[in-house]
Amino acid sequence: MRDHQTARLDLPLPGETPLVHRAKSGDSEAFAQLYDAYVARVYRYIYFRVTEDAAAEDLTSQVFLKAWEGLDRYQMGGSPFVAWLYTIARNLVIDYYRTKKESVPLEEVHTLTHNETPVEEVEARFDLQAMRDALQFLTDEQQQVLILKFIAGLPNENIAQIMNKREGAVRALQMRALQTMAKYMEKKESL
Amino acid sequence: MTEFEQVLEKCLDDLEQGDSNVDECLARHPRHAAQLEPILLLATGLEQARALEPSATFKARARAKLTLHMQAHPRRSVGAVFAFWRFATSLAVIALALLATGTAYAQSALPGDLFYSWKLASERAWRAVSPDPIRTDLAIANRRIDEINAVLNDPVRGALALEGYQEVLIRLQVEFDAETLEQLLPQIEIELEPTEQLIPTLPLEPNTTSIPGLPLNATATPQPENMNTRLTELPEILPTISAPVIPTSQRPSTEPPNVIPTIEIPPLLP
Repeated sequence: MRDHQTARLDLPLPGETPLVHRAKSGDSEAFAQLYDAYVARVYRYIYFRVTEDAAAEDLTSQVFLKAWEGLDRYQMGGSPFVAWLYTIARNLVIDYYRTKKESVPLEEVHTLTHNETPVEEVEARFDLQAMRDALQFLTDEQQQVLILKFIAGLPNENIAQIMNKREGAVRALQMRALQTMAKYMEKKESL
Repeated sequence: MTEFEQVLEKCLDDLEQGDSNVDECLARHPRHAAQLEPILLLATGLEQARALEPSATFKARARAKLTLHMQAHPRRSVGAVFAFWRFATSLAVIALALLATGTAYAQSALPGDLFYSWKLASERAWRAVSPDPIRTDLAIANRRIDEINAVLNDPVRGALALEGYQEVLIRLQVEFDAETLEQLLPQIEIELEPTEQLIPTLPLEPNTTSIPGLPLNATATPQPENMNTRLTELPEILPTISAPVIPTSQRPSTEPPNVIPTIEIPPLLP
């Protein structure tokens, strides 16, 4: 049971503190190691916040460029490094939607095809795509709490830090978001 | 929070802690099972999204881009920058402290002393920033008078002090017209009071060494009623001042050592 719990939580990288310390001192190799450790997590977060794969990749790349430039602002000993990366990612996503005047209609998202991928992968992608689409119907905060909680696997304490909310408020948001998303998916399946 | 929300929260906690799975939760709460099931399945479904991985191509491309960016924008160690500024600040503080201490110490220097030039430099700086240069000049003149009194027994150093005094007087003559000085007369009286107290005690004798062109009974007290006349006299007087030396033998034996028997201090406004 405990092993299962460990698997559910998005724990910090072992030896993260010295790596961050070295990166803050200008060690690019240390920062590259942090990139290797966290790029997938950041990508997943952004993937479910935007509807285009290319945008997800571009924003993920930008997160690490910005993190390198703003490393001085990261306070060691506070929230985990990955939580700081999620904060940068969140701001970039907000900027992305702010500058992206026109939104992609949902119908266009559904027509995305992956012709050259195996059948299993297409099915898996379909499920992911369905979740991605459903998430787009939630408010920004609801998306945040669900992605950070269930996909990023952060504890509520860190989510509250990232969203600048109290843990109780985060919990309430999570439950409301889950109910809304579940209702949407039920309706979608019944169509 | 409604009863259903409380149940949902408990089930989500149990799932997170790994204390139970979806089926166990539903079995524990049959009344809410229908409503709970899609939500709990969604929560576990979302967790499966953790298997999503960016493509290896993207990861390599983004890493290369990051490496180039880091090379183009190398970070300077915050510690090194902080240490540099700390060192620079410490150095500046030490330099300021030395300057302040040295300047304060130099104020008591007498002509010929090591710090005397420092004292003169600080006076120049004082005068440069002073909002009232006349008053400053008068204060400086008084300092020179004090120095003359302090080095009475050393003709060389006395000459240096007198030279400094003359410089102040010339400045006052050159830079300010008689009318201005006349307006400032009360200040002049105040400024020269200490000198006035000293000078009248001098046993001025006609046959002792005196500065050519100066009246022997001149004092530091300005005379308001004929000030303009005296101002015009000063340029003629000052160039003729010679080294104010008097042989010790000519000095009256009863004379106290802290008076100025041989130097007739020209009054500021003769």
